[in-house]
Amino acid sequence: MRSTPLLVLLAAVSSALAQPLTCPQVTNISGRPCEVYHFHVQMYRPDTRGFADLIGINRFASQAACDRAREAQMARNLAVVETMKRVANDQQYQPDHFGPCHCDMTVEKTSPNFLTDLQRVAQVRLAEEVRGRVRERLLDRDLTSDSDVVRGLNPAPGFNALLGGPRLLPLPPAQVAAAAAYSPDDLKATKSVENLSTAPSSIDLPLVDVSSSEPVAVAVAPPSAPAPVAADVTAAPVPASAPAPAPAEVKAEQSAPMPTAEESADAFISVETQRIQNVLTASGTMTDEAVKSKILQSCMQRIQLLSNLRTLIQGSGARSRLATEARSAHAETERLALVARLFGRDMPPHWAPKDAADVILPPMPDVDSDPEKVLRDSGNRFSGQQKRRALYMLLAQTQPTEDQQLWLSTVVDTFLQ
Amino acid sequence: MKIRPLLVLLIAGSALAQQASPPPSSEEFQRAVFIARKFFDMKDYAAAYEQFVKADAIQADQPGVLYDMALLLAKGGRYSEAQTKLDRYNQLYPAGAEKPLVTKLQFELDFQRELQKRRQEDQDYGELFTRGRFLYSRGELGPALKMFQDAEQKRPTDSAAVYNEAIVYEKLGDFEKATQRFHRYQELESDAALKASVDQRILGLESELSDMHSKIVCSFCGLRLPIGAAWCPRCWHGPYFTSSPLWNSRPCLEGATATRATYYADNRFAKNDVLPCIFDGSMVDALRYSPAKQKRIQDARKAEGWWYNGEIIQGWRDKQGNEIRYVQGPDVLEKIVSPSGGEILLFAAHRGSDGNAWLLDREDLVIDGQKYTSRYTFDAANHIVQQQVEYQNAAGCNHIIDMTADYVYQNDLPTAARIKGGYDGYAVEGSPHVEWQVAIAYTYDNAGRVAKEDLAVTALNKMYNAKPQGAIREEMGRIYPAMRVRRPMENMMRTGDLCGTAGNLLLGNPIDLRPFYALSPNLGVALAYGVSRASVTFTYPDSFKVR
Repeated sequence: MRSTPLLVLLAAVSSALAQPLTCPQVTNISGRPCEVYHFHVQMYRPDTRGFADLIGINRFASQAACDRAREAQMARNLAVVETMKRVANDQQYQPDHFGPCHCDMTVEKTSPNFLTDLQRVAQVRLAEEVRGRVRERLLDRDLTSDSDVVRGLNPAPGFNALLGGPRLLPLPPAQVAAAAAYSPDDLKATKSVENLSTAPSSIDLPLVDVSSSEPVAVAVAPPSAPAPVAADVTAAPVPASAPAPAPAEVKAEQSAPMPTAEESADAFISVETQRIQNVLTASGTMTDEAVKSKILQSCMQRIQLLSNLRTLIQGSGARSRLATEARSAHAETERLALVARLFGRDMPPHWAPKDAADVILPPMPDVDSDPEKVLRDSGNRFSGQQKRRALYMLLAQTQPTEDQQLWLSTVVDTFLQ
Repeated sequence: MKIRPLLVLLIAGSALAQQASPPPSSEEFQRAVFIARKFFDMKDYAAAYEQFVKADAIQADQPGVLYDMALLLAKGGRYSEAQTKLDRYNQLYPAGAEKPLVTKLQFELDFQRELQKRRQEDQDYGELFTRGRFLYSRGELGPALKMFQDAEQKRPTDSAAVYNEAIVYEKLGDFEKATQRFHRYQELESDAALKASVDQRILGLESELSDMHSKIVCSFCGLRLPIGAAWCPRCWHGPYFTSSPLWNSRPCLEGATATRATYYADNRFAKNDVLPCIFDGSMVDALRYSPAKQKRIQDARKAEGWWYNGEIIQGWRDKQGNEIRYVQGPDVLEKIVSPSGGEILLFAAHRGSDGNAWLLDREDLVIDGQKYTSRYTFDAANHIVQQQVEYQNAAGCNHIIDMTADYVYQNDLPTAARIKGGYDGYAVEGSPHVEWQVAIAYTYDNAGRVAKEDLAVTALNKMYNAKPQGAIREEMGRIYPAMRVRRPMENMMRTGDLCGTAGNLLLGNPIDLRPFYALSPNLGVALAYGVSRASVTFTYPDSFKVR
């Protein structure tokens, strides 16, 4: 590269003016978008009064950038020409010839204008030789080396500063992350507390009569020891002979030949209330909070159900089928039989659980989602067992209105027939 | 203390007296009880209670009234008052007729107390989640994590607390703990769909963990690179010679220093440059991949106007319409173009012998407005063994300057470099020919850290092959008054290579070693005129290790 390719230089000079100022089109790349633009220059040589033909001394990424550079170079050249004519009185001094910006074929190997790296360097050297001659002439005419015209011969190339940044950057400083990056929706809410706050609470005990002259002797049998309920499946199950809560004996009023509906209700409900208390007590020893929470929820529903059942028994009247059945269900088997008839054959193991966890009913989404709809189904879409399950859920989850109570009394009566 | 037994006796006596007293018979009493009962039947428990209060005022501490009041208070949710009434009953009528119902009511109150306790516990537990979510939303990840850890301690089987811990760990960038917590969540969660929903997340985290052990990031564009990559193939920033002592010679650590001293040809001291540190700790640790680090880099670039397609940088633009486009090939960046400015930078590369890293064969680079073209040659171990640089010095006299560096390695460490440079000037200036040579030597300490880099200009020769022409002869005469054609110039080391003037400013071609940045960050400088020697010395904290 340091050995000047003199032949190339001479050939280029001698062919000046004979060359067209655009690259010939190459057929095999027609239609392909142009990626590199350039313009040809025929530089006027003051020493030979000829032109040097240069096709490989500039290169641009866009037509617009090429046009801008070409116009700027033309303006600088015109300043030189004007100076030479005015200051040096050289009226023969010729301006450079600039071709239009077009697709650069010097990079296309199939083009006759293709330039190797060596040829390209030779072109640059030739251009610098010519500029050097022009500079010499300008300095000879007493222009200073830092004058605009002289400096304009070799303007500093302008590069976007971002192209010239350091090759190895330090890491950017850590920034405080935007709060938007931490949406609470990323997180889960705990399920172990969601049902408890809305769990119903019901205390289902009667008043005592204080109208008599003697302190009232309420005829409720002393509560038997609560039946043990196993805390979890790993604990020993309750023996089959374990006593269920003893039913309260309702003292018959002297004037009433048969128990009232209230007494009938109390006979059944109080025992069942005790049963659910036992379940709750047993669940207290459990460690699995999720199961414990479900047991509590189930017990709350049961308490709600018992409260509603009491209202139904009372509303049905002492002679109703429901009151009669409730009153006469003394033994555990009788009570569970009544439960099965009311709430389905699957219910007894959950109603009188051997383990506390058994009180949890397995989900039955078809029925549980809208139990009233199931109960009111007049067709055969739902089975009798499904309707009994619906009765349980309705009584466990809602507080029926008076109209609903009337309707439910009929439903219950049908179930007990 | 002494009067307490007396009080007990008095109370007991009073109770006995009351038990013995005649039953309530007044009409007012009967009336209040009757009305209370009616209100009770109507489920108006508050009104019923008011009536019993009246009855109690007439005939105090009647057992039935005490029980009924306790029941009504309990139904009204006033459990502690109900308990007081029951306590009163039990005190006065330990074997009263209402005892069975009292016992049941006591059970109810016990249950309600348990329920209240549970509710309070639940409330406290739920509060942990509420506070955790709030802290998380504020980006206070440490305190948020503590909330969910406390929750897990209270209820170890609640999957939500464990899941939230995993999320916070993930945000903190501790993927190992996040993965472990997600696995635990899967153990606890009973819902199969929810359990499966974190599978993909765990896979992603495990993949990230793998990358964190085996990859670094490009500090310019943030691309993940295998440890051992030389350059980033998508922006050609680098080099990332993470195991090179030379590239680990300027850690940002207490006790680490790098000082470059330069000397003139006559051995006069020129100046000291304290070189700034580059990375915190070793290069590999500083650049080790993490999603947060990658994001930090990408965010910094995006803020500057750079844009990406996925992980790959694509270009830059500003509001004035200036633009830089990265022309990405299938594997590497092939070209950088600026449609607005017109610049074009070309690159060529091949895959290294390990099949992992991309090595530059050719690059165009711009340093302080000067464009260079560099070509590299590598050995089988992917070491740069030769680098050829060509540039036209636009800051001097537009000479086309060639430089070639040959590097020598021993035991995988660079030990020496020989750089030759020079050019042939133009006919009008007297066809000057310039050659120079630089030698660089690297010294390492026992810990394998670079201890010293020494540079010496071993030759700088210039000779004019012809007389400069016309006015240029006069210009050259001012620069080199003793110049003789076809004779080596004297004192070149002292004066440096000068070639022209711009007013009072002397133009020349300093020995410009900046394109040789890839070998070392410490001697990539343009030597000032007259400077012929440079020495960089390093200190490190004892604990600092390169590898």
